[in-house]
Amino acid sequence: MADFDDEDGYQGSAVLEVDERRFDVRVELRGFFQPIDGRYHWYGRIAADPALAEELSAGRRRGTLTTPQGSAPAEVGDPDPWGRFRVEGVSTPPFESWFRTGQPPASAHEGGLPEHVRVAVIGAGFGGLGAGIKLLEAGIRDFAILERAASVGGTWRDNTYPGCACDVPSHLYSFSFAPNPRWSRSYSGQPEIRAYLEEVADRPGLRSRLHFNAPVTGAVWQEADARWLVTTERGQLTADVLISAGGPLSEPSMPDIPGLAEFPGAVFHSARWDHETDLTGKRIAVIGTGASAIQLVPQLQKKAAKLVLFQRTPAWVMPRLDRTISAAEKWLYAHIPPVQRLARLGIYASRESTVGAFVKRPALLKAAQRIALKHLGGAVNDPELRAKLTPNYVMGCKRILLSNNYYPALAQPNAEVVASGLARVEGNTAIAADGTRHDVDAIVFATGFHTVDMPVAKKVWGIGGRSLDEVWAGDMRALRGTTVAGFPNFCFVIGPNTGLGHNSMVQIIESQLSYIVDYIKTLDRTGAAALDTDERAQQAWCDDVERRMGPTVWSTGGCKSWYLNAAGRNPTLWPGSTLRFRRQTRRVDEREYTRVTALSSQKTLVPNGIGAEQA
Amino acid sequence: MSKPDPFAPPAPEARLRVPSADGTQLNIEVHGPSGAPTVVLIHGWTCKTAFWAPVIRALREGAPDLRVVAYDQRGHGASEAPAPDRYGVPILVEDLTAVLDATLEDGEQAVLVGHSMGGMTIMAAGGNEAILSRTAGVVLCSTGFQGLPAASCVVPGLRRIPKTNKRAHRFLLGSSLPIGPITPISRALLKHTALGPKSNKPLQIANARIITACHPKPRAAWGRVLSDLDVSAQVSKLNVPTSVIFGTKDRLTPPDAHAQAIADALPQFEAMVTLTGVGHMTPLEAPDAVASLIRKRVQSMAEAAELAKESEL
Repeated sequence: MADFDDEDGYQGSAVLEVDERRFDVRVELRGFFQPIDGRYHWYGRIAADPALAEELSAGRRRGTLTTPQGSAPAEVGDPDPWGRFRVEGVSTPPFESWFRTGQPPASAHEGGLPEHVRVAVIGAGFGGLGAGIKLLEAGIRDFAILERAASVGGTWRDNTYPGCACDVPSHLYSFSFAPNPRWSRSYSGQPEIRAYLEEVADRPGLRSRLHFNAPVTGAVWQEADARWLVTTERGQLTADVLISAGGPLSEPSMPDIPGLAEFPGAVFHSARWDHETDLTGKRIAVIGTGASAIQLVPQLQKKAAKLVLFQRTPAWVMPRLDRTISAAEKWLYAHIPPVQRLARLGIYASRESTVGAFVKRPALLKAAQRIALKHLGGAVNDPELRAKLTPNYVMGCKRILLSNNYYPALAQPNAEVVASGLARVEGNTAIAADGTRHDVDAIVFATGFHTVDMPVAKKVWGIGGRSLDEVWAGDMRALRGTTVAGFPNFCFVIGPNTGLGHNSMVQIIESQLSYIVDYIKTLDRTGAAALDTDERAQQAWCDDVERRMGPTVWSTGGCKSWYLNAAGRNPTLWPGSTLRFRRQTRRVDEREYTRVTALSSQKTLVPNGIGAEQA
Repeated sequence: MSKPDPFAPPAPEARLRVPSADGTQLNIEVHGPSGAPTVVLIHGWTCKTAFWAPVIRALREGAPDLRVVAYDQRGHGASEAPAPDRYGVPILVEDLTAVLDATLEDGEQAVLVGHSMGGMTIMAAGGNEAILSRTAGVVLCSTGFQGLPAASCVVPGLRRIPKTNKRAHRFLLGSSLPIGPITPISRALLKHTALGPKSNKPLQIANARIITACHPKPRAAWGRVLSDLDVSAQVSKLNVPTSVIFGTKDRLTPPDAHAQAIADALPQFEAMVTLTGVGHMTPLEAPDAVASLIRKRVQSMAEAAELAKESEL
């Protein structure tokens, strides 16, 4: 029998009874003891079944689930995009578990958080969940994932605007170690990606280490015992290593528009979509022409009386070669996994091969501009509108967008493009920087995220009590995109200069995770309490990144993008291939770090009951 | 091995970030074991926790062991700099309250030690029950409670023309001109301003390092607060045993202008120590004298607690 730390479960046939009907189903169930409420939680999925889907259409319902090992009351949830129903329950599960033999001692702290962990992870999106899986694989079981919201998914949970989808094919935009053979389209929508992450979170051992509704309010490095004191809204814990997987696209960026507070209609950001407000038949202003805007504009245009798009800079829009994935392909992927790996490799190789154009030969991108211009010309006949939508910078300088319905939507009579930013609002009139006035009922900000100032930096205080924000002073830097001098045992997933313009971020995340696991193993191997990044190593790394950034399209393309900070430096993107990044983050080079030892090994602090005595 | 630098800040056992009443994050360091008698160190204008390094060392070396809490006043050291309108005498008291809330157990008392603006913080807390109920004793170093610009003598030769002297020191206090980098000239100027005439080079360098690290904007904002500071009403309600220490060569808060006034105003004035040849930075210049004065207050705190226990029985 596994120890208490492990989750247990059941896989096989079962009988589901709902509303006095019986269904023979196949289930995959897991369970764990959750110290927060002191109860045993079990959960799982019922395999897709057309008969069941017909009978149980929508809405949660209660029933009973019976397996050869036992029976228990269960709650059946909505089906996921792949037709599988989620089933869950509390207390005695319908399968054999240690719960029946005896409850494990709950060593929970206030708010259900553990007192101390080897590793604390901030965020439960792609980065945080991936970190959890990689830590478990490496045999590091003493960790906690702190999530501010009530569910996993990160940016794929928060962005629910109509039309939200990914610009990278799903078979590539997923973990290599957690393939999903059921992707329904080549470019999946947000609900499917979110469901994928929920499924990833169901991997054994992960849910019991996830702590929801625990936004981190601060993390302070304790020099004396070389560990992080992490405070959350649900209490605090100490950690030897802190991983920040908060993600760059987590804090919406709202421009400061004079008069906006007095606007009588609905105002919201695309990443905080207000589903209560019905926009049908309304006059809607959309601010921004980034990746979110071009996905939501076609959806809003269909239902709006009038759609006014405020555009500071037009985007390069390429055709989106999207298609549904046939049942035969899905069957192949599910039953012959190497086929899926091959498909993934193909997508990866075609994406990766474009990197040279971005970082070395922006002239090549100019050739691709012709495809985009043809794409525009085919959809927009009005020469004036076409001129407004034609970018005047080199393609790739700002993120290249993919859409087949953006241009057609803007060519409709109820859509208007204002080639100017929103300057101010008077009553219900939105006034552009060029002086034109537009009466609207709602304003949607598709203005992106805080990418160059990383909000987490204000909450992390390293050696000497200095915050990351203070140390960076508006210009973020890190060694190998992961560690920062003066902040021992602190690692970023998607840190400075790790973003991509050409490939899947999941590649970068996986590279960084293997680096971080090696970092923790280095701690174990050397016996050091902590490793602090060497200032010179960090400087050398940043200089090299800077040098490579020189000829890239992001520096030479002639645009102002969200990749750049106020100083005009690009602290967000990786100026190279993902292969190169993987090579550079394969192992921790001990020469790039200095060892830090704890001053006191036997006792810790107790200001106001913080911390604990250790034997 | 070379002798350790007496001015290098010792690593604290714990470091905390605590929001003050208005949300400004304060950096607090806790040295020494929990359960030991607590001393809270409050630094002055343009300083930071590192200012107390020699005093913390001196306190930790003696017996019994003490728990020493030091914090950065807002805008100084590793504490957050607030919005421009969030500086003022009541805010000094708010921040001290937040620090005591975060570091003292319920019912626990501490000895408060304030240097210069830190001393003014304590005097401004006179009559404040939330603070006085948790204070068993006070040590004031090189400080004053009113009329600071008029009494200072940093600018030579102006003492005989009071109005000009006041105006000149007001200007110095409120100026946001940067001081750094540390050159022999700036070091000499800062020595003239803050230290006694006999201070040695390591001391001068440590002094210059601490002062030049202060950001000019909060420095000027606090300087303006100090120009008009008058806590004479509160100091007469500081109903706690208090010792006072001054350097005779202090140009910023000269003892002839402030020492007697403080002794007269305090309801429980205990002792006055005057250090010959020492300037304004008494805890840096004479850490052992300051530490032994703190020790005495800690001892009286322990005796008072002992008495209270006996009377309860």
